[in-house]
Amino acid sequence: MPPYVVKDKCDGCKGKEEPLCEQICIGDLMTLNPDTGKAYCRSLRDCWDCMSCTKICPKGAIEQRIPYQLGYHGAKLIPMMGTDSITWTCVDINGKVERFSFRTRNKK
Amino acid sequence: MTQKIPKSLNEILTEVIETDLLIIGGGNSGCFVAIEAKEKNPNLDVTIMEKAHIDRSGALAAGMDAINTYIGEGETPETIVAWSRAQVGGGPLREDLALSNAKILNQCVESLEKWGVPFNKDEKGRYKKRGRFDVSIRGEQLKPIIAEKTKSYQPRILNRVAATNLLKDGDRVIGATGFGIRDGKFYVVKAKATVVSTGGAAGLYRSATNDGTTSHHQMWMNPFNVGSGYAMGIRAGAEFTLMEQRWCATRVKDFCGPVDTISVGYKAKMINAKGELILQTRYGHLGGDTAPRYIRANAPMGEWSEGRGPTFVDTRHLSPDQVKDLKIDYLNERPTYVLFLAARGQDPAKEPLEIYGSDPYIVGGHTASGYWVDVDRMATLPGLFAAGECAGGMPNKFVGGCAAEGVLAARGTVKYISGMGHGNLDQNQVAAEKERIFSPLLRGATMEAKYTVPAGQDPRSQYDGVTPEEMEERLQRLMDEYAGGVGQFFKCNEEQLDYALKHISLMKNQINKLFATGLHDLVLVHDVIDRLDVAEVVAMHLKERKESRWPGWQTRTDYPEVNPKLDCFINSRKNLKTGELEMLKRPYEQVLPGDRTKAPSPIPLSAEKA
Amino acid sequence: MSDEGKIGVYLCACEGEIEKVIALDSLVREASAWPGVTTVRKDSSLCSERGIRTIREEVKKLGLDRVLIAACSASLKMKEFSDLGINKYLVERVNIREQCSRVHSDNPENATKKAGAMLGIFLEKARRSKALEPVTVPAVKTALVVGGGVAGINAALDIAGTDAEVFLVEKKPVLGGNVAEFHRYFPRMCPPSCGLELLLSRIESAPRIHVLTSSEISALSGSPGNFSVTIKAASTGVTNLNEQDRVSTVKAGAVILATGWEPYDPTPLTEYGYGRLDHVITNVEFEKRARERKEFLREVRSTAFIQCVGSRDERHLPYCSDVCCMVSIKQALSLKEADSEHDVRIFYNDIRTPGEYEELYRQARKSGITFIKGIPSELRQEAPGKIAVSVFDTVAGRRTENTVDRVVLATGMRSSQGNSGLNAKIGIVLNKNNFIESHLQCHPQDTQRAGIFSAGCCRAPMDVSRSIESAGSAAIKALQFLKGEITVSPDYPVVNILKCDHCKRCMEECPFKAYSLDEKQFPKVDITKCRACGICMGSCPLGAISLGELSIEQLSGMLDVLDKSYLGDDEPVILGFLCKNDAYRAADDAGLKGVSYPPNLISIMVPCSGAVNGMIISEAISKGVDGILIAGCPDDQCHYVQGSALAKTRLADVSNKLKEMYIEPERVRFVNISRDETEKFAETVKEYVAELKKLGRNPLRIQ
Repeated sequence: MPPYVVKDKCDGCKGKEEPLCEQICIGDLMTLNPDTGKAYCRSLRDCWDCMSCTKICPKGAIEQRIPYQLGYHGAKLIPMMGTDSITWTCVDINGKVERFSFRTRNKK
Repeated sequence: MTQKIPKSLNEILTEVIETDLLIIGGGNSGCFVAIEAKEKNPNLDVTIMEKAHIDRSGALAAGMDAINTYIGEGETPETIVAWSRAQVGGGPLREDLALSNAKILNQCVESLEKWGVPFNKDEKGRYKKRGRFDVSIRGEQLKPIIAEKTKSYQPRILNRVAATNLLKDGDRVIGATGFGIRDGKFYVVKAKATVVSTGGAAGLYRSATNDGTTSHHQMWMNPFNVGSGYAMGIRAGAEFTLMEQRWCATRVKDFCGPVDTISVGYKAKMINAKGELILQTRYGHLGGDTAPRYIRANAPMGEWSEGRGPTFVDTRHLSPDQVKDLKIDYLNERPTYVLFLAARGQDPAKEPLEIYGSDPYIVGGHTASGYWVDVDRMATLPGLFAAGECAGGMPNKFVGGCAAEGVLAARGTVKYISGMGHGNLDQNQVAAEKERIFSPLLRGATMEAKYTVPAGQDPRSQYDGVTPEEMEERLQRLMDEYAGGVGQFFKCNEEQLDYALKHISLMKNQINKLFATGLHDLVLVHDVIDRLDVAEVVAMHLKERKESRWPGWQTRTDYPEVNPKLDCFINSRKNLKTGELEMLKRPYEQVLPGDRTKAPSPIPLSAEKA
Repeated sequence: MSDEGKIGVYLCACEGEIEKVIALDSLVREASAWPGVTTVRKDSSLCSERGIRTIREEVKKLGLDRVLIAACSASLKMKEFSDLGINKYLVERVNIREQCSRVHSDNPENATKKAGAMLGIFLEKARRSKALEPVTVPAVKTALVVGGGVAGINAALDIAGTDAEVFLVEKKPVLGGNVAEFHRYFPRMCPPSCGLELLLSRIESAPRIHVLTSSEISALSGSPGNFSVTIKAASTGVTNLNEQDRVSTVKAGAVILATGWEPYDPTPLTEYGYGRLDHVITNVEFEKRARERKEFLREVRSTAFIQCVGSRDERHLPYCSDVCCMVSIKQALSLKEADSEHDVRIFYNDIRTPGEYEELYRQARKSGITFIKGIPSELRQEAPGKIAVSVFDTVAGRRTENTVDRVVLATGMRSSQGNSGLNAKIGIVLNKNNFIESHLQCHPQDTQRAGIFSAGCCRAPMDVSRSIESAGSAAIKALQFLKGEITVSPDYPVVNILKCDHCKRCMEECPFKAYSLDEKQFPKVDITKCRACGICMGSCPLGAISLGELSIEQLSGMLDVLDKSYLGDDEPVILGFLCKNDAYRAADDAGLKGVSYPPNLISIMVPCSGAVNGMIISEAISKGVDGILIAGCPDDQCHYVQGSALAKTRLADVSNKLKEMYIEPERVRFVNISRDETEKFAETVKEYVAELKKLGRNPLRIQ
């Protein structure tokens, strides 16, 4: 399931050698385009939609979209990371908004 | 990062590392190997070779919503093994492995909670059960937590290094080779003991929703686990077992995601287009809802092939709170399933959720495919161990069991390593491997552009060679059509399997036509090479088992019944002199008494716990 | 909520002031039931001798491992509460006076509720506190002084008066700098050679001063207390030293830069004909010639001084060089001293003779020196040895023509070449006039690098006595680093390398370049350079960095424990992060200034607004806080250079994410508050509460 990088939000992780999405991608798919200085997904069809890139992007520049083969246009799933919890917002194609918050780490 | 593509082998730097313990694959079980090995001997030099990045790599990338193996109150290691046995129709399975695993299972699972993974609890503060041995967790951070724990022991972690082959000194495995996906180096790791924990093999078969746009990797399993660990062992002459016992699962349709969450967690029953309860109606004699897993895998496909599809799990009885909890479960394992439902405007409380069979996978965490190992998890080659989904003979490990496998393999290696020196490195072997690894890349760097590039096409179409994607797609359709893929409702026969083997052989002869134009491409090349080796073994095993012991997982239309003479392990081993795959049988040994097809009910709480 | 701990909670009635507003008894009851609390009591005056003694006794008797002091602001009574028999990092101060009772006195019920909520979150912070001890780093007891002019020589002598060694490096073959060639000092009109000789003989006899002339600094690395400086001796042509012998490395604990100034060349001001007309010289040339030849002062009979040549001029030197007026008066008086009939005219814009220098100005007037307020537009050679000076006399209101034998152009001081070289070689920041950047007002002798100081004219134009003073103050500052060891307070950040992903944002955003990479490519902080601002903690996208006294885990725990409806279901709750240098103090002043704001805000003090991590802000919203307010210094006055600007960026990222999540982006807000903007702070809070009331409660509050 493809991750799309919003070019106005991506800052290429300020030109460090490897942007965070490239560091974490489980399939070696996210990478930096040296000409634009922004990240992109090498092969949208190869993504397994683990959303590690979406979660780690400090600018919130990555949007996970579902292939049209599976679902229709306009739905959104957005993670907001806390240090020990996560909040997901889901918007369906009819505009209905759902939110889910839960703890992901127990502190000692 | 712009990479410099080398034009000759000399340009490629070699990095030689000497270590005590090499772990190939830094996933769930690989990390547990490292942790336990360091706990047992802090001075051990441990190296992890990981194709991606240890923080998120492997099947746990997006998280996990449940631990499916935990021995709760009223259960014992024996009851879970008996249940596991019944789930695979009575076996065969390695009961010795299963019992050794079950004995340490709980402490492995509990260590996850100790490290910070939130486990759902019931009113009494015990782990909340969602199934007989399933407990619910909020595992979105499961892999990062395991990775952090691993890192705290300071093993040498080689992120972005893809392992390619095992190194051998005679029969003994003395390490492995690999290449750096970012630095382009050739890695030679000498190790006193090597653990293969690369997970299962996905993408041998075509996935149901594979198309020409963006859903190629729409599968249940992590598609970057291609079975390299199995392939390396196959090529090195290790013995494998039950490679015909493919994991073909019922999954939510199209999305190809987990369904146990719904069916077990929320007691949603499988129904067909007419609303009939499938398992009760057609498989009541096999246990209905508690029928073996392969029955549940096959059930929806049976309905579809007989014209009673679509098939669903009926969620219409769920309350809004339960729907929310259901979605939270998915958000912890395959979050985009929630996006999938949203993209169809689907409310589980109003419409039941579609299910379908998945493409077949080889995954020793669910079924019993994998390396033939002893109780120390050592394979048939000295110095080689298998952990997690790579270790064969024991089905139904899941996350908790694979963690325990890692611990057991670690103990096995520590035992083996003590007093052991390194093997002798054969420089010819090393040089040959370097050539094998990098020749597709060198080919790609020196090919001449022969053709014009058609509009909108991949620039690689300029070159007169074979791209790894082309070969992968060909293999996947081949296996789907001729080796019992989901497109054929998992069915195959002798002639189809021979056809598959013939074409696999044709492709293996054409490996030298594969070319890569960068390091990422080179990964894809080796992915397809490894898949070919695994697919070949799978087809051979399917051919050898002339019965249908686990229909769905392994259905022979020419041998539709169970053959009692084949109540044994079907194993294979490559003869390194002839290059031929030798098939052999090993007997099943029953350790736990009783009816193999029955899972005794949980022992009442008043009884003693083992 | 972790329930570890044996915590003592002490509530101060502040001699009745706090208790008049906050119902302390009810808080005592509430807090007694909280996990980990061993004892709770109220006291009329915790900071009194009796109060402190009581706490100390209870710490010992009850074996308390944390102490919570709910009283006045933490910036007060620090000495009193520092000696409670427990590590000071295990003492948590809760500000229920300045930020509660004093500003919410109109509603005691709400003030009490807020105090209860404050106690709750700071108790959680205390539960997660760790005992910390200062760290001592061994340091070198050697100072390096760069530049052997008046400032450098004095700095070296001041330091050598202690037991530290000094290396004095001078690029010329002799010490003395510019003034060695001068004729007279003002105001005493004495020759520089007198003072200089004394200084130089003291230098020579000082056993711990090592003078390296004809030498320059070529590189500097390391950190305060442990600098490593490479010194290169110039090839003299006489001694045949090879390349290696010319280079030496010196270890220094502190460095004083005294690289001085150069005169501004007035050639570009073609209207004055410098270099073209005869007898047009600069003030520096006057000094040199007067010193070289006694006859110089009598060579001509009339001299014009033109002030501000190339100074206070956007096209040349935009600033005033401080000394030129006094120099011209001094030179004019020398002329008069040599020949009382010498016709001296000084053309000026302003005469700047501050303080007692006014006396010299009066003397000049009395001696017959003419002062004309007007700057000549051009000079012309009227005849050989005669220069025509045409000027509009602004006081007389008419143009005058003056013919003189010689014109002295009073040119200004500019930053020496040595300064630019320094910037390139050792990364010293220069200001827009190329002098060494310093906080002119409060820390004039500091550079932006800890342990490196500036003395004399390399920092700004100044006269000799100020140079000597500045050298002294730089020497005193340097001595802090020359004790043989440096003690660092344990507030510095710690990187959790188990989480670190090598993105290097911390290294990049640190205003003091205190980070470098270790062998495993993880960021490592140089604790002697670090100022514990926490900007690195704010920058880390994985929350892997925490400060000694404020950690990510503490903040996350506080978010868990915060009662998001402490004022009831309809009232929004705002969590504030206020920077300790400006915003927090401005907020503290509210009570005394009679300014109040609604009790919906609970503030946490942070060293810098840039220390607030975006994940914590997101987490706060996720956990149901209605609004986040970050308040920092005005952008260009941030005590840590860029903290406020960074905080704004971080907030903008969170805000964008909220928008996409259909949560109002207004739920996070930044405001610049400087130290005295208490009223602005209060207005902001009032406005924010009103806005949040309109928006309604955080939709994530009930999950």
